[in-house]
Amino acid sequence: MEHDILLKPGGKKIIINKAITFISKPQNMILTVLGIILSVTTIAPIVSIMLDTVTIHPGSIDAHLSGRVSGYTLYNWIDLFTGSLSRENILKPLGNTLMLAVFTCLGSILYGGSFAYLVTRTNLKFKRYLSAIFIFPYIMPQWTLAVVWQNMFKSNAVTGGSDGLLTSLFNITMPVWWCRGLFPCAIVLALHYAPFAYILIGGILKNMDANLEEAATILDTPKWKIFGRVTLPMVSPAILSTILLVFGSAVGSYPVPHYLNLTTLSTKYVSMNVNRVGEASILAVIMMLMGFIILMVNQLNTGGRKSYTTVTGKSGQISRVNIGRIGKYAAAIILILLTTFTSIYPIISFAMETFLPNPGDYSFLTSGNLTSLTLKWWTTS
Amino acid sequence: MKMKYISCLFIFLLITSMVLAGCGSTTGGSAAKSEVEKIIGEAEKLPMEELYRKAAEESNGKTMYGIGNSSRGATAATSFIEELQKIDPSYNGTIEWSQPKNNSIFTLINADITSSTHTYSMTLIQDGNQIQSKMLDTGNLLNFIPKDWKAAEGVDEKADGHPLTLQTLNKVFMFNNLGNKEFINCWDFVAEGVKPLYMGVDSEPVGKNFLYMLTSEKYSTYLKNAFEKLDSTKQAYFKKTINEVADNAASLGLKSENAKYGLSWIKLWCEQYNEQTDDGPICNELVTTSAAGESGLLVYSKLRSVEESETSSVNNITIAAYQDGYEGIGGYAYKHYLQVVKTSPLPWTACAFIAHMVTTEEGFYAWGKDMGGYSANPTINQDHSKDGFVDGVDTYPSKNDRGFDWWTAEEGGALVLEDPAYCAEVSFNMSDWIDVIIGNKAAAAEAK
Repeated sequence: MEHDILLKPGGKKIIINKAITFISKPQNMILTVLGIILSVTTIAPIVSIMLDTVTIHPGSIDAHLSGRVSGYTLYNWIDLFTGSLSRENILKPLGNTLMLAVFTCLGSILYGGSFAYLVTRTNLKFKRYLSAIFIFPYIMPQWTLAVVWQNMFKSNAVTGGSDGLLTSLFNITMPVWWCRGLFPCAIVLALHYAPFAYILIGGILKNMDANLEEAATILDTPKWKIFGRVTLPMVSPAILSTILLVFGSAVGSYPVPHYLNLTTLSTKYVSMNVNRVGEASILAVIMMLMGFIILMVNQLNTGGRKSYTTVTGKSGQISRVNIGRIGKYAAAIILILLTTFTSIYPIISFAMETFLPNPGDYSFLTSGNLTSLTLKWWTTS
Repeated sequence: MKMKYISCLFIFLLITSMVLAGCGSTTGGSAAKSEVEKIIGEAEKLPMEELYRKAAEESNGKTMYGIGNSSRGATAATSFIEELQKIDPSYNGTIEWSQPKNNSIFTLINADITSSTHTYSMTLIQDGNQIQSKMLDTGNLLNFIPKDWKAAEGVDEKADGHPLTLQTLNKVFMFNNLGNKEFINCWDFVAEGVKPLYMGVDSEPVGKNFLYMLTSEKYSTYLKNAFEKLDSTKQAYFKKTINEVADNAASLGLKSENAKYGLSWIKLWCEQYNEQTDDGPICNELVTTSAAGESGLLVYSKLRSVEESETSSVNNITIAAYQDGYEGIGGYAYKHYLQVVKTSPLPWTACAFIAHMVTTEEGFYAWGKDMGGYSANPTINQDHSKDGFVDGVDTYPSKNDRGFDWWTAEEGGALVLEDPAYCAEVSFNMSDWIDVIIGNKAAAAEAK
């Protein structure tokens, strides 16, 4: 009997021994610690927010209508989706948020992706300068770009208040849809996140094996078809990763919609926190769900990604598209001008603001009087 | 497989939330006084010197954490520490001051109270409506009335003691006088085609409190009186909206006889105001030459920081209520309140700091140095009636602050003063009503 026990240790002991053996390996130890930290820091906030959606908050509408100051209720869910303010509190912000996220993704992928293609796969000139300057809008906080847009395009005739730079200097007024709402928000966020697309798509384009493209060329396939049927599918994982990053970030962006007057889930979350705290938490859950869905789509795609087998020998270099003697300069000049407005102008504008007598007061440009510039913003606390 | 796993995780989170919800316990009130309440009771009987002494004993070598809507609390903290060092030269305590953004101050205070360890000792907080419903009704913040403040000349404990007021700030109607538009009645700010610059009511809840107050007996009567001073053409124009909203008064539970005047003004205001992100930018816009005829409702003290230039001047704007013959409300006023957190780790220091800010000139200096902010203790207010004078010449008349008494008198500035209890009473119905108007305005703008 004793012999049997010695040979067959108890289940508990086996588990402990297995755990010790597992943890004794450094990689497993690191995995366990990180697993615990990530689970706690990710799951705890999610549980807390979900719990908040059914909690009664003193001073909030759920407490007012239930007549209780504590406990739990489904009132917040019912009121948000079926109440008299459901259009203002959920439908409109949700619609705006989705449109903003979709247009931001489209804008950043088109701008950042085209830029990446031109830089990595063509004989474009001034690549080093362009690839450095293109990243700048991401370095700058979102709100600075929104404020720059506002200061540039506002006008007394259209948006009310004082004239912006464009109207003051050239008497040009932009329509209201250009100055406020979805369009400027999507443009500003697309510019801000285009470097994501450039880095991710550019990375694949730069290191892409050109065998398939070369094979297609040998088979006399038109260039547009090669791009659509060979190049694009190969960069699709990078495009999806960009969508994952940009969509989630655009959904959660607060400063840009706040400055450029667009009601989104994030701006509504802040305003509803005054007397609809539980309902605001539902908005947070919806934003999380959006991220979750995008993550699922990404998982589905990467999980079922097609693999290609090439029968030719390994290619040693990337094929470059010749955009012509004039084209390589013309495209570079267009991009330099574009990045001047999207990357350099916002920095100059913001630096300039620190010397203006009043924020947005560019009177020295029209009067030529430089004495109105001041160092007070630098010297006073 | 991965998708199944993630879906299971999501369902698990949902179930966990529901289970935790079921496990929650309800909080019950206790009739017995807490330690902090007892200390407040004792502190209310002590003069300033004694309070400083108690604070120096309690917080020497420690840090007191304060949280507030005004960053100037940090400046007041410096002068408070100096006072404590006069009592005890070896005193080396500090005050950490934080100013959270948006509406998060209420969340932070509540989270601190419910956590196992407590950080914040006192708060400087605004928005009477939320203070009443989220903090006072729940007992999360405790009121402390310093003995010296109560005894000071001109103090009105009934109006400013419950909760204790640090200061009243005014937001006033202004307009750019370079155009030919006239604003001689508060109804002119909601006249056809007028789009005053204003911080959105969702960005700053005190702005919504102002609108709630317009439905009260006192201020709806102010609006009625101003309406009656309008000429017949203007009266006919506004009468349509007044009749339109007359039935809403009863359904919203408003008791004032003249509530329909308040409601119609609110409706027109919400439909027409041009939403801006902050009062600073509004001020910078209004003072420029290109903003001819524009108007706004903003913090009066913003005028102090306008730098004169070719296109910007304080003289480009007129304070509506300063005009001879102006009728009706000249703006509104909201308050900064000082409260002790019920779980205050350093209650004596919190009480002494509060007393320092409301009873001494040094303590109030951070706010008192600027026009447009008035201590509830008139003895520590500074005179700003000649802030517009340069070398003895009245150069910028708009900056000559006429003082709290003038601004709050019906025959003066007729400011609408925030009443936390009234705001809390009507806020839920009124807030929804206002949100629907703003929602319709946005929908109409999109349809264009």
